[in-house]
Amino acid sequence: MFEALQFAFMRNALLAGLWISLACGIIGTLVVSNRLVFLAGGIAHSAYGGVGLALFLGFSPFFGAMGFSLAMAALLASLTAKDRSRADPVVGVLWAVGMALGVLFVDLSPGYRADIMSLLFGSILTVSSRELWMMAGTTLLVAGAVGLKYRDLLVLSYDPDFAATRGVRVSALYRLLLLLVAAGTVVAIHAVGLILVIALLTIPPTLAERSCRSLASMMAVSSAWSALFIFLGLDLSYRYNLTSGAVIILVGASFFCLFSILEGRKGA
Amino acid sequence: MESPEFDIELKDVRFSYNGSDPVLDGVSLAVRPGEFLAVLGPNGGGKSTLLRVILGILKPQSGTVLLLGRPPQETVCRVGYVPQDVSANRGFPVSVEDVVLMGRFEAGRKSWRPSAEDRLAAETAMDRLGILALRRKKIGELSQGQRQRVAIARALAVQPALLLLDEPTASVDMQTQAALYEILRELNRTLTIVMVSHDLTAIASCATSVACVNRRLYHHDRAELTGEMVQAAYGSCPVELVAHGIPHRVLRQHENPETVRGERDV
Repeated sequence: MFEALQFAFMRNALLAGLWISLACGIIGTLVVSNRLVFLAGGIAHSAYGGVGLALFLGFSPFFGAMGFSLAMAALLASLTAKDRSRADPVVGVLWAVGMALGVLFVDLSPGYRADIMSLLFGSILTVSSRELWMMAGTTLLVAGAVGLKYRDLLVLSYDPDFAATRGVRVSALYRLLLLLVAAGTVVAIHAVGLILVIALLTIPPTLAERSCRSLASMMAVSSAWSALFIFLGLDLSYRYNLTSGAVIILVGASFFCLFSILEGRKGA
Repeated sequence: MESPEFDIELKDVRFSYNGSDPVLDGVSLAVRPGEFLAVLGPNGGGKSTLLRVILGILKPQSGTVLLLGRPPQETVCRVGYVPQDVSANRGFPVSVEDVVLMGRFEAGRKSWRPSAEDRLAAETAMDRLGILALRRKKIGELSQGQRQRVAIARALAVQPALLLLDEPTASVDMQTQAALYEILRELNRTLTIVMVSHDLTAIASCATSVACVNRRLYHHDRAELTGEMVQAAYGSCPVELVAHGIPHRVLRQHENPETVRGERDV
């Protein structure tokens, strides 16, 4: 892969991979430990509505996806904060509505747009320097917010009811959590696309959860797993000329299966 | 600050989820300092909802709630709460000590690192529950009974004036249950305790008063269940009025129905 590094796009891809790994490690950990996997999937898919809107109005799909998922996260937070256990149907509806809106906006936009496929399935090899800056900025913002609210998020994630008795404003913090999930998800969409992103948010934290004793260490270990999957996936996709997003996910899934089998043996 | 006559005071509280049939209706309750109130009632009768209303997590549609003499939002930080189902998040990456330290957490405090005082309070609480040796273990590595002890230790780390427990013995074996009741009885010397339970032996082992909740609330000043309470709370479902405890207390039929505190005459 070293000869590939002479290409600017490959260097950008690797840098993007680092930022994405960090975003996935932090946000994926919160998604898995708060059991928000379905909700994160809904936010990611509904981002397609923003992508379509951006194409229709002619601005950057990154901003379209970001704006739309943040709005979706805020809406989901207000609809599900009262009774999280009944969030599923709401998520299911918004998931599909977001995608449907995206499809209609694309219909209404003139011409064939090749970059749609890259948003659906990932385009880490075509990340521009400008996008790289936006990813870095978003990731640092997310990391900063999580760092600032770390103990609040820890107490909330472990036990929302107890958190309420310690003076945590649970629904406000829950809204912040969903907004952070939306922001982190949009960063990760660059690597594997909005359809596959859910695997990159869940596989690394699930692998990390077994060995970690704190949220912070789980975030760090998840980030390391994400980086491994992204770089290994990039290398394989470069060698065999395959779609990088799909290879990244399958590399992660292979590790996931391997560890599940090893774990099963140990338990037997 | 003048200490209020009651640690918990509910007046004519009505609560429903999303405008459906009320889960609690016309509920009044007064718990004196030092009391150990066992809250019984059928599943879905509103026991857990009652605790969450007392804590201010849920806001009633009508009626007033006073916790330690003030609205619950102002005083909830002085209450130790042991929620139901302490095993819900078993895979969570956290050590026993860090769970107990959550009892020292206060929203809005500048430093998020626990102070020496916090660590001492957590240590004392763990020691009291006999789980100090487990402090470095991951929460998922513990047994059900041990996790229950951790939840109680977390509530004690608050250094509360009042302890509210929701089914603390729901899924532990008999031995652990007896041990937990023993600990609670000891804690009751310095703490007011309200414990939701489906277990009638709780009354005999540690309670000083009993309430039955089934949408309405029936409060009785002594650790006895009366036929009327059971009839009202559980309906026609036959319930065996037997509890094992030393000293052996028989849950006798109440002679005078007037002494049963109904839902409105507190």
